[in-house]
Amino acid sequence: MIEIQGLSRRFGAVLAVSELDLSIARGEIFGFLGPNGAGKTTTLRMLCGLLRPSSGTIRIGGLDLAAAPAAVRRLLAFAPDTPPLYEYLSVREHLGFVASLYGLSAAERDERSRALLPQFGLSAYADQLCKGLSHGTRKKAHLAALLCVAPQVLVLDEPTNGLDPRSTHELKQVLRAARDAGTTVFLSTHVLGVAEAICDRVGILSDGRLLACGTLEELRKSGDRSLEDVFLRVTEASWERSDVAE
Amino acid sequence: MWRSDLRALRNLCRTQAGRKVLLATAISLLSVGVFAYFLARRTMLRREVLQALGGASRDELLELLAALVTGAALLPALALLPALLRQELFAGSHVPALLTAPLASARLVLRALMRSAVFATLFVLPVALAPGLGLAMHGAAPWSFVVGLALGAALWVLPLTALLLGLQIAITRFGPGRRWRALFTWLQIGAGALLILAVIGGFVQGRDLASWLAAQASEPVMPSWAAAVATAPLLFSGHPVNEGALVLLGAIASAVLVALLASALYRRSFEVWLVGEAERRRDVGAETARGARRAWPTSPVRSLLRKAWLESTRVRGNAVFVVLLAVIQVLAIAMSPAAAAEASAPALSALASGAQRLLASWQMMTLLLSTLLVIAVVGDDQRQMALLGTAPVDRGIFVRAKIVSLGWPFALLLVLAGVTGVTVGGYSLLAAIAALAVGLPILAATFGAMLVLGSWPGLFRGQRDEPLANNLRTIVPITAMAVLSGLFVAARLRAFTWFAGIDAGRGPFATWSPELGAMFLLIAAWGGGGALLWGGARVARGNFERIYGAQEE
Repeated sequence: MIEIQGLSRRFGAVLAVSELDLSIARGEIFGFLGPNGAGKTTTLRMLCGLLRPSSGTIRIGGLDLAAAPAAVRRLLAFAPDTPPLYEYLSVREHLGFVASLYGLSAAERDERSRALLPQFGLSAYADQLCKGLSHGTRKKAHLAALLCVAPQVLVLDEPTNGLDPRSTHELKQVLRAARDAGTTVFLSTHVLGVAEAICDRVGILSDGRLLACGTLEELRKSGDRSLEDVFLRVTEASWERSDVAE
Repeated sequence: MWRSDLRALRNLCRTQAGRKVLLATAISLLSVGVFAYFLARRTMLRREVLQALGGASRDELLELLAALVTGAALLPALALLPALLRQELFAGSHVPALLTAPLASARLVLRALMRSAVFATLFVLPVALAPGLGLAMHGAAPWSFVVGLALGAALWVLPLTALLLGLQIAITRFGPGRRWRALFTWLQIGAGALLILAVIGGFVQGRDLASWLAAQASEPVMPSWAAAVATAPLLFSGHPVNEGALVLLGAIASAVLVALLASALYRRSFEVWLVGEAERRRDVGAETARGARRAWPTSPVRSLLRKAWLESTRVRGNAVFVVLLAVIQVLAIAMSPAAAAEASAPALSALASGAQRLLASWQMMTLLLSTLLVIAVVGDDQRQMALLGTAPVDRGIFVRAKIVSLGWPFALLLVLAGVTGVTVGGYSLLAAIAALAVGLPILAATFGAMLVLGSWPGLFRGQRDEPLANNLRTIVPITAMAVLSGLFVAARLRAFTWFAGIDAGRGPFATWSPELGAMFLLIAAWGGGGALLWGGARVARGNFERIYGAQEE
């Protein structure tokens, strides 16, 4: 579903993403892990067509993003770390607004939002302005809006940031359900527990380079008990380099 | 605490990000200064005033000018300080840390007072300096007067800040309810309205003000507050100490006293503010229940329009500016009713003259409104770029939605000009229709320009939240829009002058009949306006493609 080849992005002298190759199948949840400043958000922004790559290609659903950005946008929905809500719309209105941008009919929108609002615990907030909501609730509101449009590819930047444990648990269930329905999910996260629980495969990025990629079993070596052990082992060298540089 | 503030200031000069902040601030200050100089040229830097300053009553006139300049210079402080103080005393992220540290309340309040006063002074100085520099460059005032004027205005900021600080702490402590907040908001809006009225007064009645100033030179009549304010700067320009200086020194001493008294209430007022904030968030949520369940449109254009409409009706302050402009326009038309001469003039001449007068008021409001709204073309959706940029929507839809959502205040004011002209100003219905017929193409041209300037992709490159980028994003389109709106005003005046020439049988088109001239003008206006709107919309569509497409940085 997602094919990334030789993807690089340079900001002046800094190489934020370097020669990234990645292939993600339809109906897969792929977790993108890495320390702060590893290049995760840059990759996500390129994947969504918000940032032009310095080199390399991105194909989504068989379509080249650079050649057919409008067609790719019909397949994809993106949730950035800071939810892009309009402060003076209610949660229900935000769902309606996003649905209209993706061309949903009123019947589809109403049916899906009736299911999604309680699923995200948003029923009580449905008619409240987004302005008054907490960060976690705002995040859930935008995720609900994106799931309402049922995209083929869902790109999420730090989806669990600011969510309480119950909401995180519900999000994991919702993402699994979306995966089962055929949606491909590409998410970046710092929460290794989330990645361990729901991701079919993970990629570990550091200094813009993909250091490891595969299922948890494939990445584990003898002595690694958890994803945290894998992460610490894989990123150790780059951590030491940055420590020396500082 | 002072040391850390100074160190932060020093770091601004040393880092690239800091230098960008300083550059952004400098651009803002320069814009304020240029604007102040522009206004001064329309008022006090006029021949009559400059001639009067060469006369025997020069000192009295300088005192009067000092009063006017000091008053005008304090207006930016008045506009900025409520928000600055709110940030320093209550809303800033640093406030809880300071309040839980083992520091006396008086130190915290004095810190807020000084930081706010220093920042406000930065914006007071360009306004105080610009007219003084103009006078000095014309040789109409000594350079010491310029320095004195700036120093005097700057020193008045401290008592003003202390007064507002004391008010804000007391109101938060004793009247945290919605009504008090509304009262405080309306007081701020009132101050803003005064500023706008003063600006318009400067534009429209520049000549009268200049004559009035010149007349005062022979027999100065100043209200006592103005005398006290005016004489203070002269203290620094070699004049003997007088009661004005004592008033200023007394005000500064009182400022410190007010701050110390307010500090006794500060901690409790912060607690009240915290509780009030939580209630306010709940109130904001509850407010929307009205109408929130209405079916949302499925068409993207109607959806964008509904969004814009809800934002303009739910944000209380949004419509206030439009209402204010409408009131000013009604007053302006009521004060310049149809001239008696128009009744006896030939029908077409009377029609043109009436339409011209009605359009003059409307176009002044259009100038103000377009400079305000030009930054809303893309700016309103800046935080939603990740959503709009990845949405599968044709970018032309954004342009169409913007034309309607930003266009209604202009159209409303145009219709209001016609209705007020007929009902209050005594203009004929035909004159109102003629004003509408000429006003619509002017509106189309204005909108074409607004769409292009407000969506210029160069302004939206790079870091979206950087102060420099944000300042450029505001200042560049506003300045360009002001210039273009001025050109549209000049074009209207030129067209009517041309028509008057034909009507009077003068000039190279003297052989044309007035009917032919009017027809030609109307076709030219509609053709030009339509072309500008069409071209502007096409360029804006391309701009939206770039802004919401893949960015280079």
